[in-house]
Amino acid sequence: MKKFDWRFILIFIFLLASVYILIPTFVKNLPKDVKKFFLVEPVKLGLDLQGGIHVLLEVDTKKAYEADLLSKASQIKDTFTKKNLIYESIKVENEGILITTPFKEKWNEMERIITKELFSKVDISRVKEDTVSVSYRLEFDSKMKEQIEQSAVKQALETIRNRIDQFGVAEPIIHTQGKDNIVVELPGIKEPKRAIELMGKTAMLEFKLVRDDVTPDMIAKGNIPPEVELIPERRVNRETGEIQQYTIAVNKEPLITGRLLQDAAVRINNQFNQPYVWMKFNSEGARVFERVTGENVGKRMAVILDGVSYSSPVIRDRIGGGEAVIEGNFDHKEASDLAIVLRAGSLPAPVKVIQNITVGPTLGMDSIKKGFVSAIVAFIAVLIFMIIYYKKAGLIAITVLILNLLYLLAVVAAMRATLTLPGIAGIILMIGMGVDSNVLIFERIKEEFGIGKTVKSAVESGFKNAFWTIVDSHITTLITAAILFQFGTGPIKGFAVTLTIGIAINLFTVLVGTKTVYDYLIWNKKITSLSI
Amino acid sequence: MGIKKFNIDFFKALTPAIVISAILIVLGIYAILMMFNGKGVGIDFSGGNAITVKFSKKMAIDEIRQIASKTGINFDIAHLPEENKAIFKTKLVEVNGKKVSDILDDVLNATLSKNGYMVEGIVEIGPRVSSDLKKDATIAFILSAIGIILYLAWRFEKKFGIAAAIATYHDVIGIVGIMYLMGYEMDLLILTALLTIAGYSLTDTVVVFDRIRENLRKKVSTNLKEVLNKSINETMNRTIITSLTTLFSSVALLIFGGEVLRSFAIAITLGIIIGTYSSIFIASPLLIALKLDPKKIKK
Repeated sequence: MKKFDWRFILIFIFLLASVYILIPTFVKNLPKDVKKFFLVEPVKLGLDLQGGIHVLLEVDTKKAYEADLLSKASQIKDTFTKKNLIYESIKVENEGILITTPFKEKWNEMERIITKELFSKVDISRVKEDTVSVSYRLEFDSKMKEQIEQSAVKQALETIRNRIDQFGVAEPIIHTQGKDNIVVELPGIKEPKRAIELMGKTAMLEFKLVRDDVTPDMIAKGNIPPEVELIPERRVNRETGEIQQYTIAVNKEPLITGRLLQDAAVRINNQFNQPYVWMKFNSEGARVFERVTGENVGKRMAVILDGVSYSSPVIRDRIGGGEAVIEGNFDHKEASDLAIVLRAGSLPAPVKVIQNITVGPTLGMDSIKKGFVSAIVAFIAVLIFMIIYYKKAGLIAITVLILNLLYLLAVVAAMRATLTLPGIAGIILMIGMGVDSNVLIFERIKEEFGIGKTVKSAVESGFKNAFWTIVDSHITTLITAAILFQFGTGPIKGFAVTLTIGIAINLFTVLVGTKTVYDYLIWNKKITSLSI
Repeated sequence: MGIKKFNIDFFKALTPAIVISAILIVLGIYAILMMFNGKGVGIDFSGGNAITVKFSKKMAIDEIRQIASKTGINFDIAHLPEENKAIFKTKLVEVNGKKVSDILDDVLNATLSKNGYMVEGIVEIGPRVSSDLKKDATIAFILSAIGIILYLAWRFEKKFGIAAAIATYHDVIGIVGIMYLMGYEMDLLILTALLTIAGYSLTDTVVVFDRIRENLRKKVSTNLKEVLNKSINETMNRTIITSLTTLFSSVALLIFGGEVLRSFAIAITLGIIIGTYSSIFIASPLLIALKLDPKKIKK
């Protein structure tokens, strides 16, 4: 028989490769010139171990579609007004547009404009007709609705990515999930609450004209013109720093929105030493801003963010240059977050946090430490037991187990798979379960030896008989691991990955590793008695 | 150590085994029915908040309860005095549009000030996420059962597959029942433990079945009961040793793994005990109950 076996070389190469791969994981603070020789990065830890946040956001796609319909409705209004077509009302209702007009004979002309000039795919149905007026309902293609909703999710994703980038987080993971969800994972973040607020802010900036002609008396009676809406305004008392809420009446139609912003930054007010947010419009925005301020000199203009007015100064003069500010007793963090969201743009629709898992960095470190202690204790217990019970064969099983664990970690590192807390628990269990295949073989060899076979043939038939049992039991476990992977999320998925890799490696180390050792002992050492 | 040869007639213990298993299954099914009605499930499946807070000084549980009561939310509090930590749990996500974690944070800040505590972790699960998880978990369990039956039916024979699947799910259902009685709420971590146990118990059963098949092929006896008994006895050494080494792991995890992994470790430890029991006392008699025909064993 050959003196040397290719399987030894294979096991040895794998061992060297594993050690090479795992050095950056276990040796912290490698010098830079040494580090560059190691091409594989340390084992990637899940958020539950290194700390960070995992947030699932739901985009209100219904609102995005509604906004699209609103802009279509105002497009119809503009066109009708230009062509002197008189209508009673055009409003968005139940994912459609409802047009009511007293001039029934003009409808044909209106319909022609809507279907020929404005939109291509639209269903029109008459919903109501009486002696004074007629109402028609416009519904758009469902494919278009889907497209708008999808693009809203995509746009929200881009905006959130933009904000997170500006906030400064290393290696953020941001992707869509399902139809209208966005997953954001920020490892190792220091201020989780602040980051979540930053992501979730719609940041809809609007400048609207204040209607001082609407008196408090009219507001109290609910007697306000249809083009006017009431919104809250927060005013800050400069002496006490107290924030008070007022109600103001503004035009629904904004003069200009944040869509035309080019830049935003934090500035400090020298007089009060207060941070505020400075904004600059792009050239188109600057032109619009100059025109609308020029047209409304002497009136008040409200600066509105997400439906709340922050201030409503009087326009003293036409404002050129396209610069504006938002003030309001912000601390520096608040002001800089506001500047970030204004720079990154507003979300196309509101988003809602539907899942938030925040793990502080100490909690994760704690888990790793406890996992490590458990692993060592389990390993020592198994080691002592195996050596007492199986003697030298026990040593083989333990060597195989060590190879198992090393290979497993190396594959996890090389595949950039994520190690999570349940994954660590899985590895600890593997210390106990991993010797099972060897136990199966040893028990089988003992049996064969017991019925009077020679060492060589006992080992041969022991392996042969245990082989399919080992394969079958591994594959059935693999089935459950695959299903866990398919349906699990986050940490559970990490567990399934660790389990799957572990099972595959266990098969290899036992069927190749243990077998090789025995073959070597029998052929080269010509052993005649078993220490088992 | 020499070879221990077991020679136990396991069918003598069949009646007590049936009684024990019947109790386990009834208890488990009761627990599962309660869970589908929203009882005994953790926030993963019901929605809600679990907030871990670390205090900078020793706090008595009454003191913590008193602070928590100021939130107006009826928190379920787990106190970990040796780590100066407390976990606040509630099935609520929001109160009057304000996040539960923010409400608790505000109250802690007002009573202990910023340096007196630290919010270490938050798990907040909205209602849609939890109902999706519930659906996924149910599908996962049904699919694994089908997968196991199909594979074993292909490798062995249909009745082996069914018997193994029943024995495995007997363990899983039994553990669900015991965990429910112990007051542990079903969550993703326990679910992971259950699927791990399913894998472990299945391995145990497959090892015994493998030997049964081998002995049937060798025609060691014409009496099926005798073949089964012989097979269980022959694999007994391996069954005990592997259960022991795996118990070393799960008990180490139970003692040193910390609070987060406690429920996982308990479920696994129970699983090893019940899984070993079922592969000896339940899986093989099931083959007789299912009227296994030895002639149908694949060569």
